[in-house]
Order: sequence, then structure tokens, then C-alpha cells
Amino acid sequence: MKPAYKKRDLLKNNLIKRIILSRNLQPFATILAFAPFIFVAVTGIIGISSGAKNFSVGFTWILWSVLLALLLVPFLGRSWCFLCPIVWPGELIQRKLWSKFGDSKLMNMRWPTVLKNVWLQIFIFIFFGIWMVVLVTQPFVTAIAVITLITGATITFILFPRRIFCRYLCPPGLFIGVYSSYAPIEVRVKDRGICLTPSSQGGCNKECYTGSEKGYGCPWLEFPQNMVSNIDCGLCTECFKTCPRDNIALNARPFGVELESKEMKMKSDEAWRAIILLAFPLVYTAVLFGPWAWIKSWGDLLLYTNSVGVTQHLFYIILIIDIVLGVLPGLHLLASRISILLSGTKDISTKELFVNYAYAYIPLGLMLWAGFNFSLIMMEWSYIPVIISDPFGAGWNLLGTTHLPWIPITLPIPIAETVFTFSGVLLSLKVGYNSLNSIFSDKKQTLRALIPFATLTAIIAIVYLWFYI
Amino acid sequence: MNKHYALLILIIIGITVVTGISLVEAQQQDNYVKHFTVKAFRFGFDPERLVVNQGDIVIITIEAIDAVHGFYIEDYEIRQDLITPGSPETISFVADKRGMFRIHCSTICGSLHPFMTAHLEVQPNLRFIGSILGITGLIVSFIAYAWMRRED
Ligand code: SF4
Ligand code: SF4
Ligand code: SF4
Ligand SMILES: [Cu+2]
Repeated sequence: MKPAYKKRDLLKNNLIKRIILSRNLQPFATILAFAPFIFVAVTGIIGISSGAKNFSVGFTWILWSVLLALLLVPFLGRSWCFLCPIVWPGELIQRKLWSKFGDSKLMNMRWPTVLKNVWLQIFIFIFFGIWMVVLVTQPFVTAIAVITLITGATITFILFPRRIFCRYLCPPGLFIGVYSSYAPIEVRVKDRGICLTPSSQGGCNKECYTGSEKGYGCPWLEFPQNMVSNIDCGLCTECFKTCPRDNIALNARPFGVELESKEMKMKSDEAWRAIILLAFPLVYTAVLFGPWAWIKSWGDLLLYTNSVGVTQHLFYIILIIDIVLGVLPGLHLLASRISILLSGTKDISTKELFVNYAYAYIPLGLMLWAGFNFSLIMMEWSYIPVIISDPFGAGWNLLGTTHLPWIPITLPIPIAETVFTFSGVLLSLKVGYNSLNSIFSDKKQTLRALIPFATLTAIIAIVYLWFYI
Repeated sequence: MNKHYALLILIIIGITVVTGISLVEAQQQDNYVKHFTVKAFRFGFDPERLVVNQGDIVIITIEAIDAVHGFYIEDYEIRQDLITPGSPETISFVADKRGMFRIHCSTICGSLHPFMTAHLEVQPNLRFIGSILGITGLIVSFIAYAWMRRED
């Protein structure tokens, strides 16, 4: 079968193969990532309460989030999940301890079927999102969040097999997963024909899913043979180790191709996930970088000031939920409806179009997240040397940079935001056009159907830019 | 190419250009001295948006209300740290650059300090109006390009 897009197997290079398939790489990388997060928990709890001077806030919300949104996710997809420290204790228990007890019922509980979608994950993400004003400014809250995630993951790993936590619960995983579909890297089978060969004729025994003495069965509950998307593949490299036919490739590919491929399966929960993730950089930008002090104080659920009471907090929560789950999806629904009318089609329902086109917002969302984080790092980078030199805010001066003044670099921000937004619009239209093109036979119809979505895309981009230029 | 579509695209381009020009026109005014008194409080400024015209002489007196604050305008690189309650500081400059520039507090004043912001808008904001036109143009040309491209 001819592949839908150009790809090149990086593991053809022996050195890369040796490094990536080494059993030591993952634990090593994970421990390297685990250490700073333990430090985040410690400094967050016993360090100074001012976020700007505490390691936990600076590390998590300036360094880590920016690294994820600007580098790791756009270029290397779920690479963070490869070394993620959140699941480390849980996975260690599962692999080293639980494996000794065989299949006890308690550790192999079944994940309820009603929860086999990303809705719960979406709600957890929104919950964290609502709290972001306190989360990104209060070291203590950041520490609690990190501890909650690690504890939640560990409990889930103890009770359920494989990475149920990652698939159905993890909030950062929601962001990482969706946008990894845009990354120029993928794990896929080399030749599906080999997978389909019966074992009696020299085929495999589906070791990539069941596991073997060479490695674990796919922890992410993926079956490489049928995998067409990056979204739920954690790049854990187990299937490379287990596949007896050496049939797995780590491909480099052009950006975003999977979103345009016809094999991609469209699911409604994932569509909602893409829309909600598009709403958040707008909400964060408006709340955190916008000029309105009232919304910041209303969102600051911990710091009751005289003028702000519970009513305002409730109003704030309703406002955010309304934008994220109401206004933006509502506008998208409206666009889908108009699109149906304009194209005059009877072959597809509004709901199907709603789901299908939502995937086209992935590049736009990614660019807006990148833009938001770019502004953040340019404004606040000078806190990094400060918090490394004095992580607890206790008056240390380890590197001599504790008293570095605040030095924002503002010149590139408007240019960069414009570039991010314009590319987001263009890349999003490209994906959208291609996905509409596979629905409608006729080009005229496709373009008519595109107009309402393009208009919505433009409105989102313009609203976003208003806060930066 | 279908004539109706060519016409439609021309109309869209026409409307956006006219809107753009009239927006710019509407924002162009004579130069004045603009004086503002800005209250800095945890965590914001009042007024939250300062609107001036390009070429205006802008004088801003900043009063810290509840804590020690600072005042910094992006790109203009105007900065006054350590404004204490009771002793207002005054800054002045010529608004020679067009656009919206974020104002930030530059002295750590509490948890939300990094997000203590306001806007200075120097009209006509050609950057913003230009991007509205740019995004519209981008979409129109995308559609036109897709329309004219030969399928293979
Ligand atoms: S999904 Fe979440 S918990 Fe799982 S590996 Fe990725 S970031 Fe870590
Ligand atoms: S073990 Fe290898 S050959 Fe078999 S199904 Fe999995 S990827 Fe395909
Ligand atoms: S086993 Fe393979 S398919 Fe499964 S998560 Fe790991 S790399 Fe992805
Ligand atoms: Cu301040």
C-alpha cells in the first residue's frame, strides 16, 4: 500500500536505534525529570509564598510549560510522556511489584465502559484551567497540584492495568495528546501486511499488544497494527522491543499530515477536546494578559479581598465554563450549521460536520498556545536565574543571580504573535479544506462549506491578537 | 473562474480595504498633550486602557494605592520602579510608536504581580487594523488559490 504521506524511519540509523531502544534510556530520563518535580513539591510547600520568588512556580509555569508548548509537543509530540515523572512511581509498582502477584483482581480492575472516552479528562482539565490564576501564582497550590497528579496516577496504576491514567485522566496529557497529532514524528507499523500474516505462516502473536519477555505490551492500550494517529501513543518504545518481526518504525514526517489523512477516525469527544483546547489560550490570554483587574481578582479563588466575595468567584467560574463549553463550541456549531446550508448537502449532518471540522482547529490552537507561552517566556525569563539561585526564596545566592532585576524582552512579542496567529489560520484552513474536501465531492461545494469556518477562524485570531498588538 | 465568485472576492476585498481606511481615518486626530492619573493597585491599573494619538505628548502620574508598585510600558521601554503609596511618580514621553503596548507592574507586589497589566493604545493602531486586513486577505487568497488550483 502506498503511504499517504512522505515518511522516513529514523531507526534506520543504528546509533539512534541503539540509544532509543536501550532499556536504560527511559528510567534515566524519568529520574532526571522526577527530581525537579519533587523539588517543586518541596519548595512549593516550605518555600516563600510569593510565586515570583519561588522555584515551584517559576519552574513549572515558566520553564516546563513553555518547554512543552514551544518545543517538545510541536516538534516531538508525546516525547514528554516518554520521560514523564508523574507516572513513574505507579508504573514502577505495576511492573516490579504487581507483576509478581500475577493477575489478582484488585490490581486488574476494569475501567468502566462509560468512561472509555476523554470526557472525564476534559472536565479535569477544565477544573485545573479554572484554577489557573491561583495555580500559576501560588507555589503552595502548584505543589498540591503536582502531588495530586502523582498520587492520582499512582492509585490508578495500582488498581488498573497499563496506563489508564494517561488515557482517561491526565490533564497535561490532554494538551500533549491532541497537539502531538501535529508533530513531525510518529510510531507506526512499517508494513501492515506483516501484522496481518497468520502466526501459522510465520506471523507474530501480537506481542506488541500482549507483551513478551522482551518488553511490555503497549501500556497505552494501543494496537500498533491499527494505529493511524499519535494522539494516544505515548512513544514509550515498548512495541519496538516486543515486535518479533521488527515491524515498527519511528518515522519523521511533515507537520500535520495525520490530520489531513483520510484514515484518521473522527470521534466526538476528541472533537470537543480540540475545541476546548482552542478556547483556553484565548481565556488565559484575556484573564492573565488582559487589562481587566476585576477578572483576575474574581478568578483568584484563594485571595479574598474586601471587594471580592463568593458570588464573584462563582460568576468567574460560570464565565470561564461558559466560554469554553458554551460560546466557542456554540459558534462552531453555528458555523457547521451555516456550512451545511451553504453547501446544500444532504449527505452529512451538522453534528458530523461539527466533529469533522473540529480537528482543523488543532494547528490554530497549537499556534495560540505557542504564542501565549512565547509572550510568557519573553516577559518572565529573568525569574529563572533568580529562582535557581534562591529556590526557596530564603535569601540564598547560589549562583549570584538572586538579585537580578526583572528584564523583559518585549520587542519580538508583537511580531511573533502575528506570525503565530497568521500561520495558525493558514495551517488550520489547509487541514479544514482537506477534511471538507474528503466529505464533498465537488470543489465549489467544499469552498462554500469552508466559508463559515474560515470566518470563525478569523474572528478567533483577531480577538487573540487584540491582546498583543 | 466563475464570474460571480471573482466579483464576490472583489467585493470582500473592497469592503475590508474601505473599512480599514475609515478605521485609520477615524483614529487620526490632532496632537495634544494628554495627561493621565493612573492608580496602581493589586493587581491592576485604573484606568485600565490609556488611549492616545500618535504624536501626542503623554504625561502619566502614577499613584500606588495599596503597596509598592512599578510601571513599565512594553516597547517604549519606559520604566519607573518602586512607586510607594503616598509619593506619586510622573513620567512623560512622546507617543511616537503606533500600536497597543502592554503596561506591566515592574516591582514585585504580590501573587498576581506578573499579570498586573494595562493597555496603552497609540492610535491609529495600524498593526491591529493591518492584521485584520491581513487575516481577511489570507483567507480570501486561500480560497481563491484553492479555487483556481487544478486538481490532479
Ligand atoms: S499522559 Fe500525563 S501522566 Fe501520562 S505520561 Fe503523559 S503527561 Fe505523564
Ligand atoms: S507484533 Fe509486530 S508484526 Fe505483530 S501485530 Fe504487532 S507490530 Fe505487527
Ligand atoms: S507500545 Fe508502541 S504504540 Fe504503544 S505507546 Fe508505546 S510506542 Fe506507542
Ligand atoms: Cu504591582
